[in-house]
Amino acid sequence: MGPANYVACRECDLLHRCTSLPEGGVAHCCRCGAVLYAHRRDRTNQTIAWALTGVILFIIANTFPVLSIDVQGTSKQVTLISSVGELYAQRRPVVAGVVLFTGVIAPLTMLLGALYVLLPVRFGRPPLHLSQVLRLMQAARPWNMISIFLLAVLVSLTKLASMADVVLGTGLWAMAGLIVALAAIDATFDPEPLWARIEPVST
Amino acid sequence: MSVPPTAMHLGLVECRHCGLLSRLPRPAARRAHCARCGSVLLGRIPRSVARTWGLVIAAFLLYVPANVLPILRTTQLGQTDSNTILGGVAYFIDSGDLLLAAVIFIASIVVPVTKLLVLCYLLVSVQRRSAWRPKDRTRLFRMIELIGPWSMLDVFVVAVMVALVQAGALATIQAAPAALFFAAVVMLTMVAAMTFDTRLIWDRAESGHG
Repeated sequence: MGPANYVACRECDLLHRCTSLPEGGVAHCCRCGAVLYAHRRDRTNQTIAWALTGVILFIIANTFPVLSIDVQGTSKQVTLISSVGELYAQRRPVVAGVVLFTGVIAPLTMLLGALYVLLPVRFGRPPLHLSQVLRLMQAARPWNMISIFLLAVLVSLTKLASMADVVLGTGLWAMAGLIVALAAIDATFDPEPLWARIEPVST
Repeated sequence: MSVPPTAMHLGLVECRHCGLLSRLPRPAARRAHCARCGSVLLGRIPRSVARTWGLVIAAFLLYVPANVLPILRTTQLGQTDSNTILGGVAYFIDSGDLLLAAVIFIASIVVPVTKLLVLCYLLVSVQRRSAWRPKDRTRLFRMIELIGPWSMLDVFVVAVMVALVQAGALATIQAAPAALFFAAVVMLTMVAAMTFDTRLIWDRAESGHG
C-alpha cells in the first residue's frame, strides 16, 4: 500500500505502520516515545462549546478591569489591552506588540480558528481556506501566553497589595476561565479528521 | 549495520503541517509541495543547526543589556529610581517577599539561561554526532520547550505595573529599555526551539554507530 498507511515520528523520523486503535487509544513512537497518532472520540461539540465560551470570556476579560488600584481617591484599572495601550503610549511599541501578540492575537487565533473550522463542518459544509486556517492555528499555538499574564497579575497584586487598595476585578476571573477554556480546546480539538477531508491534489 | 527505517532513509517526507506522508520526487531538482496543504516539503528543517546557533548567540548577546539596563523606572515625589531585573529580585528579598523574589528569579534568570545552555548542549551533541542517550536528549528538549514561555513573566509584570501605577499619590512606573531586550531574548529562544530539529539527534546518533 502507499505511504498513506504509514506515519513518521515527528521527533525522530522513525517510520511506523498505522494500526487501528481502540477508542481513546494513543500510539507512541517505539523509539523516542513521542505521540504519533490517536483515536479520539468526536468531541467537536465540546470544542465548539469551549470556543464560544472562550470568546465571551475573552471579551469580558478585556472590557472589565482585571485589577483596580485605589490610592487616596485616584482609581486606576488594568486589562490586557489597556496595558498594551499604556506601553505603546510610553513609546515602547515593540514590547506592546509582543504583549499584544502573545496575549490577544495568539489566543484569539485559537478561539476564532476553532469556530471557523468546526462550525461549518457541524452544519455540513466545509469551510474555505481550511488548510490555511489549520496551519495558522498550529503556528499560533505555542505563542498563547495568557496563563503567564495571569501569573504576572498575581505577582503585581502581591506587591501592590501592601501599598494600596487593590481590588480583583471581574476581568481577572474571566481571564482564569479563559485559560481553562483554551486548555480545554487544546485537549479536545482534533485536526486529523479535518485534514483527512482535504483531498490531496495530484500534480 | 542495519539502517533504521526513518522516513528520510526511505525517500519519504512527512509534511510538518498536515502530517501527510509523501514520496520525495527524484531527482530533487525543484521544491516539492505537499499534495494536501500545499506547504513546502522539507526532510529536515533547513540549516537547523546554523540557524539555531545564530538565534542562541543573539539571545545570549541581548541577555546582557536585558540585565544591565533597567527594566522599570519608578518616580516618586520627584525622585526617580531605576530597577534592573536583578535589582528587582534583590528589592523583593529585602522587603521580605521571598516567594516573589524566587518567582521572578526563576522566570527571568533560571529559565532563560537554562534554556540557552541546554540548546547549546543539544547543538554541540548533534554536531559531534553524539550517540549519548538520544531519548533523554529529546526529553530534555521537550522540557525546555515547555518552560520557555514562562520567562515572559517579567515582561507581563512590567505591562501590568505600568498600566496600574500612574500618577496619584503612589508613584509613576514606566517601562525602561531592558523590557525590549528581555522580550526579544524570550522571543529568540522560543524561535530557536522551533528551528532546532529534534530528528537530527536521532539521525546523528544512528550514524555514530556506523
